[in-house]
Amino acid sequence: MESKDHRDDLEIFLKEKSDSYKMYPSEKIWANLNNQLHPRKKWPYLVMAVIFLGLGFGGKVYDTRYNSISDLKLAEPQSQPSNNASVKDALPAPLETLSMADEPGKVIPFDTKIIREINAEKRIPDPKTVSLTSNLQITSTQKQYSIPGSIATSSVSPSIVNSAPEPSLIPISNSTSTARIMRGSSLIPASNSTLTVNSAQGSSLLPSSVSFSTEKIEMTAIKNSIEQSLLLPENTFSNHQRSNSSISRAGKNVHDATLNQVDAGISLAKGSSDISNNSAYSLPGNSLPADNKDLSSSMETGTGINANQTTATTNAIRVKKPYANRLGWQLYFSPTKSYRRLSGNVNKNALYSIANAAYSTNSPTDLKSAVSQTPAVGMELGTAMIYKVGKRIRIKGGLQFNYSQYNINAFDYSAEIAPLSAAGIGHTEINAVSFHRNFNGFSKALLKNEHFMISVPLGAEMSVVGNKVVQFNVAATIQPGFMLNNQAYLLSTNLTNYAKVPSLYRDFNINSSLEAFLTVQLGSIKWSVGPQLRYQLLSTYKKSYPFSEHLLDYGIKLGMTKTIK
Amino acid sequence: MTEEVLIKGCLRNESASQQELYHRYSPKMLSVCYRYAKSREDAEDMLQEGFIKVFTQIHQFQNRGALEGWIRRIIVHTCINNLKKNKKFSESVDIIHAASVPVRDENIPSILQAKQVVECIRLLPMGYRTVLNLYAIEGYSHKEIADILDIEESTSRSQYTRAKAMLEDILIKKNIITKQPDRSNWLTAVSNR
Repeated sequence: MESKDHRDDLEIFLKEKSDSYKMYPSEKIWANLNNQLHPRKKWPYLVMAVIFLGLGFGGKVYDTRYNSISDLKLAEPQSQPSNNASVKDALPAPLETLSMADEPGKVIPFDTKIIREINAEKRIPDPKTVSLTSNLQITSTQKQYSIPGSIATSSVSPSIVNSAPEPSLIPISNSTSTARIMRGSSLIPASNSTLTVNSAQGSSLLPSSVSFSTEKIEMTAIKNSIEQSLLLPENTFSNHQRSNSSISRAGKNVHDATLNQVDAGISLAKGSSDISNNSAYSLPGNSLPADNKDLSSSMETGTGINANQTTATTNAIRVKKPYANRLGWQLYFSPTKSYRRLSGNVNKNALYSIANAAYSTNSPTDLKSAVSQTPAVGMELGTAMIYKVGKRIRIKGGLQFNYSQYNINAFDYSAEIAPLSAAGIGHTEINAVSFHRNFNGFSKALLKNEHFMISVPLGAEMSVVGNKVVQFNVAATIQPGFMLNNQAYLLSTNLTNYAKVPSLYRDFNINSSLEAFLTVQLGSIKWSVGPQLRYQLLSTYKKSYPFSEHLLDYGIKLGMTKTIK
Repeated sequence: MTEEVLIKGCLRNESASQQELYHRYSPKMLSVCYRYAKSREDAEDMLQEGFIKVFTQIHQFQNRGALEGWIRRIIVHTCINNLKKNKKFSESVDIIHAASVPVRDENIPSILQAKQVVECIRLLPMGYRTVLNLYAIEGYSHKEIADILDIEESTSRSQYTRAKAMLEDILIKKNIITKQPDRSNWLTAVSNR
């Protein structure tokens, strides 16, 4: 700067006033500055806690759902008013109930003189049979048929879920009859849990006309994936038979019926998504076994279908789940102690330049002697689903969080440039500002190298020896993972400084794990404890950094496994 | 905490020392930045960038001069670099034609005279303002200014003369100074205010 002796008064005035002026920066400037100088640890525990809580909750819900399936029952149908009010009003109180013979394909005699109420409740003899749950949804389509000369009115309205009715022809005599079949208890698909409900509603005597009301009673609750078929009475008939079957009065065939314009019948579902065409149905007869109460078929009387009247309750029928007792949910925690294996080539060019410096007396020349480090306590927390594939073998997959750390003994020092690239042509020069020296610094410093990783362990467990209560197991997993955060120092390639350079860390890595553990079954939970070893297969650093680091964690794993029944 | 202790703490990258140093010098340095910047926000950005350099380069401070002067030089260079980088400077440093730029007639808040003066300086076109700041307030020579701004030394001189005249007019117009027939006594008017 040149001498300002010649400065005039204005310049002096300006400088004086400008220098005396102060402005106070906002606090965020220092906060930003401090963050840049001392990067804060991105603490992922909160996020991880949320993930694990979610997984735990999900597992619980999953478990609960499975348990609830075994308790499935036919639910009480929702009260749904019948929309065939006109028919309902017209129907007289007496109702003639229909008895269905249990002989396959047999045309059931329809005796109009006899009012019989069938409360045919059928119980599936085998306990390993389907549990059914249904809500009856009643929709009504009413068809009226004019029957010349006929005074009989019959309303028979059976239907099967989700399907257009395929009415059979029911010849109706001149006598008044009202038949109502609440449930086609005998019509049970052989390979499906969906229950078909046939409903016939009684109709009133309508001269010269036959009022035919077809009600579709839909059972909407469908349980999927049920393997066990219903064990039904021997009497079954094919869908073809069923569709062609008809309930005829007095043993008359439809085609022979005098009232051939009458087209009333029991419509059975065809093409239902739940009932295949090849499904076999049993048609229980009049004399159903007394214990066949689960799949009750009730004949109800009344002037219309009332949801309360169409109450259908089917008791629980056991469902065998394909993966019952095979699937388990595991939660585990493991305190660990972390080590590392560091290897690589020292940048000798940089080393020599260091060696020429005054402070070179204690400078290390090889990697092994350069690093002074101590292990520190880390942790592992994870959850997994386990599937039993054999008597002794189980496979598992899950989500796991790892925190590992170790300490480096170093020294504080003033800012220096730390070379982090390999020596030689073709290597991009990487330097970083370092405040820490590996030796000969101002004061001792303990540098923490911390790693936060989330991974997906996939592997298998094997029971080596034991009984149902106590077992000794071994397990191995491979754990592809993502490095959430690194708070780690890299050793400069001249072995002199430590610097933080997060960009040199590999984001994705693969770990392997070996463990041996003892399990004890206490109630519904299996507790496990045993040592484990976790080894990082790929280097922590990218290839541009000439040193490679492989983390090694030893730990004691504590876990609990709940079998999903 | 003495300056020496502060420096040692900063050399050890201690947050407490850095914070103390920052709070000690940031008010003055922000006013420096403010004279170069277009807005207070820009000034704060420059201040932050400048202090990052201060803390990362503090080992280069040789204890030969005042720490404040060393920090100030870093801050000023940061401001100039920032202006160059953002092209704000190059767009407005068309010093040859800057004379034709009209002076904005803004109301200067009469809080403090120092603030008024700074605000008057900020009314100058960017090119004038930069040269005036560097020469009259920071004490750089025209040669140094020419090097810093990549302009001719003569250009720096001429622009400074124009800038000073323009600022003088503004200060008179805003009644911060009064121009006396005898120019050497103009400051008396100021002191009487």
